[in-house]
Amino acid sequence: MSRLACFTLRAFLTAATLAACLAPSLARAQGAPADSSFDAYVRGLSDSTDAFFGLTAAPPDTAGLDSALAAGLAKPPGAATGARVSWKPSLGHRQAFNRALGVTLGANVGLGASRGWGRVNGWVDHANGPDLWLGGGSYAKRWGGTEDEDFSYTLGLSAGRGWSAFDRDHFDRLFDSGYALLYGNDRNHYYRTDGAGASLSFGRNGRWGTIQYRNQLESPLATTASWNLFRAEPAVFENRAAALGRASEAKVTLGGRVPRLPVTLEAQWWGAGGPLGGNFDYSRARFAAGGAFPLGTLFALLPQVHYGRVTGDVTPQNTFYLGGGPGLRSAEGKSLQGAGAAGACVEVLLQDDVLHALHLRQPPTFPIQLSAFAGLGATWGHDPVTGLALATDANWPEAREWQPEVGGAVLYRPGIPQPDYFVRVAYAVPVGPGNREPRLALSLGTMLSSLHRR
Amino acid sequence: MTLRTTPLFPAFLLAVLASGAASPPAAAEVKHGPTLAVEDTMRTDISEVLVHAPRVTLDEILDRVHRGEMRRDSALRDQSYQLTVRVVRDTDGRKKPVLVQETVDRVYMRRPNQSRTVRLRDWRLKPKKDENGEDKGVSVSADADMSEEIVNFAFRPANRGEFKFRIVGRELLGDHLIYKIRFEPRSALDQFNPSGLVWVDTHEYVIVRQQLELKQSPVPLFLKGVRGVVIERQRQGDFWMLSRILARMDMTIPMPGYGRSFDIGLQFSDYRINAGLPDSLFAPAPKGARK
Repeated sequence: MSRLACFTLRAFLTAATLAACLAPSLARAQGAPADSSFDAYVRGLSDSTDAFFGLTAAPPDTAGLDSALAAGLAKPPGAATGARVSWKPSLGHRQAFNRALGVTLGANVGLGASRGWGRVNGWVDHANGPDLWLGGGSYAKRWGGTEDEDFSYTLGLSAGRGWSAFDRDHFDRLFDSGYALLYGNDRNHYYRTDGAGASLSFGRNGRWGTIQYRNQLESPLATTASWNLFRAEPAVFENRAAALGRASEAKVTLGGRVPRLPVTLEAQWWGAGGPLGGNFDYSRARFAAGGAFPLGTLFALLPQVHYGRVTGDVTPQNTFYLGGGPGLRSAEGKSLQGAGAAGACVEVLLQDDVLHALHLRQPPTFPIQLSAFAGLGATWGHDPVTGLALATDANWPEAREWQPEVGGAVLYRPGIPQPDYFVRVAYAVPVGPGNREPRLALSLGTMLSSLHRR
Repeated sequence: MTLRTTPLFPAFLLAVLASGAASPPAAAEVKHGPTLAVEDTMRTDISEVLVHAPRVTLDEILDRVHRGEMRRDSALRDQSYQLTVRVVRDTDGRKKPVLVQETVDRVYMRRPNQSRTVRLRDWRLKPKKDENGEDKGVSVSADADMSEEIVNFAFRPANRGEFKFRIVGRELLGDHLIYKIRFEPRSALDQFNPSGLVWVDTHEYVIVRQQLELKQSPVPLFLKGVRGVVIERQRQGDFWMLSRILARMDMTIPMPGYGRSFDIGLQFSDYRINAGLPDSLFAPAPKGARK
């Protein structure tokens, strides 16, 4: 037995040694790759893939493919050079609802491609509240590479009559229209715009910027629709009057991710008046930063800060608004406004479904996540009587103006309309002096809501 | 030569082999049983070698992978291959998997921007027609990009900052050193973006295989998860070329025609690389020709 075992062992070692020595030369002689152990390793990985995927990974039946190829190649090849530009018009519909314009229905038509000769869009809406026709056109042309590492820039031109919301930092036409239509929970105020603008956007490697100019007459709109589908009491009835005047405004936006850190920075500046002309003379700046750091495998730490300041003419349509979803959750939405706003928040998010994390169920269809947060925010420079902001020299709120809060939230991420959008039910408890009440709020948005882009 | 007893199992096996057939114990004072023969008359000393060269850092490896991928891409002038797209339903193990559809195309690409796709097979379990009565199936269109971004997306400079990388293994196979590098989204809010494990052959610093996973579904409302995304390359002459992309999807609700769990497989085969594709393959169609 021992002799047999020794012989077997020796024979195996000899064969292995010979194979190791001769395999490269044999392989080269046969025209195969030289590294048999490497190839065997890769093949072994591939075999495990075959075993897992079975039928999906099986090679296709090649019968009849040669004749199909010959027949296919006999046909004319068609225009196969470069990207084809479609000159077929594309049609779309537009809709919105708010208490200033009522139901706004319209259509848009687009022609061309932004990477070819450029894309031309035209749109027309009718607002049934004030019985007002709105409409305009735009042109966009894009240059540069298609990949993120390629520098690319886009020129945009637009003109027409439209509308906008006072809060230029946090307004979502789709969702705010939905809140207003369903149960009247719309705390935005709206104004009309007539004029033209141009923009140049550029970006590369996760950094972006925009230079814009607009010359628009801004005019107030009155409330014309106080109804909603569920006949709820509207959160706000009056549509606050915008300051009437022509805004000749330049805007610069710069943003980007910090290398090697999961942090995004964003800076915006608006300037009107002076050499630009127009009826308003102001300078408006806003900075925001946010990050998402993993805390082990289960939690994420999400800090974010923001700061904004208007100097010069402070109008309702260029002040800062705070409260509700973005910013202070313990305050009603957009209930605080001022010539300056600042805030910070730290949130700890449970990354996994709460029951799965507790080993109470398998990864579920509807994962529910939890978070706890602490933050504070303040606006300053506001007139408590009219609610409108006034010019101020203060660049920072006084200690008494800060409104701290703590709270928790239950979150669900449906993956629509964007993968990083959460449906959030938050319970925020004010901390510190004052008689502010705890508040339960439903919102939809990203976790780092101080940032416009992440 | 000395003999000693040992409790170790492998040594026990060797001892049995060395000592031949065990004999029954004859007397209590004589110790019998397994023994280990140790060869102590031959010695080999290997002197320590102080390595002065700095170890290649992870950053350097990532740079080299990017350069290796760029080099590979720049050496490709034209290529043609056979692309098979296959969808198989009922892959969760409860039922027998069923092939739902299979298309086979021959794809031609030539720099700078020419491409052509010839459909060779279009088979479906249940053919569907569109509003014009034409067969509705998988449409394959290709541009002339041969950089295989799906393989190296995490290593591209534009995306590298989005991921954390770490070396999880090194394997020496013949004269090939294989690095296994794991990457995952750097931001805790991007867990629905792919994490992955790549095998890098340091001969040319090209990626030879990649396995992806999604820690969270990007659309939990419809997509429960994606299991076992495998991206394989195979050597074709001097180049590592895309060979297979396979993924298994689990849905929250059954999709009509595809069920609750299905596989998608793309197989790239029968490569012809830098063969000098003729101009006639890409010539524009004459006016009035049917596309």
